[in-house]
Amino acid sequence: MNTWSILLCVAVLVYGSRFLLMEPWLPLRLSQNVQQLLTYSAPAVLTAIATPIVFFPEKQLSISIDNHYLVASIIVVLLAKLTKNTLITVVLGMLCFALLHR
Amino acid sequence: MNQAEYVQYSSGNDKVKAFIKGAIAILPISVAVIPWGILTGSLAIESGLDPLQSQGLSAIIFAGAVQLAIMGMIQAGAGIASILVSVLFITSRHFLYSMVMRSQISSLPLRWRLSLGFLLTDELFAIANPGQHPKFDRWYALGGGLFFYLGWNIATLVGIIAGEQIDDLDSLGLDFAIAATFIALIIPMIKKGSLLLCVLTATVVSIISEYLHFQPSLLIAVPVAMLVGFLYARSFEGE
Repeated sequence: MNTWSILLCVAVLVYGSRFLLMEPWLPLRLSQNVQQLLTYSAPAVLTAIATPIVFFPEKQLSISIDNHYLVASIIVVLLAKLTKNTLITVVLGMLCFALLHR
Repeated sequence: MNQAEYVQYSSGNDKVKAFIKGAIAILPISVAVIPWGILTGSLAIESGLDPLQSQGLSAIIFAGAVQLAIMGMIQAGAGIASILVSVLFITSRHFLYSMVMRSQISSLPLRWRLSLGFLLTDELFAIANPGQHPKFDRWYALGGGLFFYLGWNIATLVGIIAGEQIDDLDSLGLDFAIAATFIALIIPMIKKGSLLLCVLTATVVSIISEYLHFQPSLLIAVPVAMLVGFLYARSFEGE
């Protein structure tokens, strides 16, 4: 299969995952409980994507001061709390990481 | 299903204002993903895709984690079936997002559903989900989504150009940008105890399942964390 066909198949699948469940003709009724449960999806997913990057640099679990990803992430948490500004938080956080990681 | 409340505009001027407001809301996240976009572009070139295909990843798939995963698989000569199964796992969170957005978007005309569906990334969901904006504003969402699409594709282009010139761009730790962005998005979401518990659970379960090589850890950590947060809220926060 050539590369473009693969890219197209993947694009269709990703698009479907974003689009399909919003379609009104789909007989999908969400109970109050399910809707309540779904409010936890964003923090859960974002955390589950970030965690392996932070705790497994070089694919090895590292919970120590030598793990620059972990140290910089703690700084980012503090920055987010203190500044309440996404842009400042990310830019300063990346700077800290760059300094640590030199 | 509950009918969502909508922001209605009578004048085109107000629509433009809402559109720009959405773009401004997503601006910080767009800046934050620039390193990740550059990384995606340069790695695509490194993995043997031509420049047009590398840009195509961002232009037609428009999903960072999926892009990073499949370029490696294409390079390794993986079959289409295994590529699609892996993509299904990584993209499965979008099913959740669209289920959440269903009450807001399903009653819009088809052209809106098609375009907002295409633009529904982690980042757009983070700024436009009902927890952030109980009243759904389609122009705000479109402005945010399109601006982010543009930013992601420009960053990819920079990566493609740089990747052809700089070796070892991936050793710079650009992947930290992904983590930093997501943490900066998560922290403001933690507005009550059940949400804190949900985030902590997701962290711990991800670590455990990564450590034990339960892959993909996302599919274990996410349902467990959602359930823990939900049950805690029902028991202790009176919901």
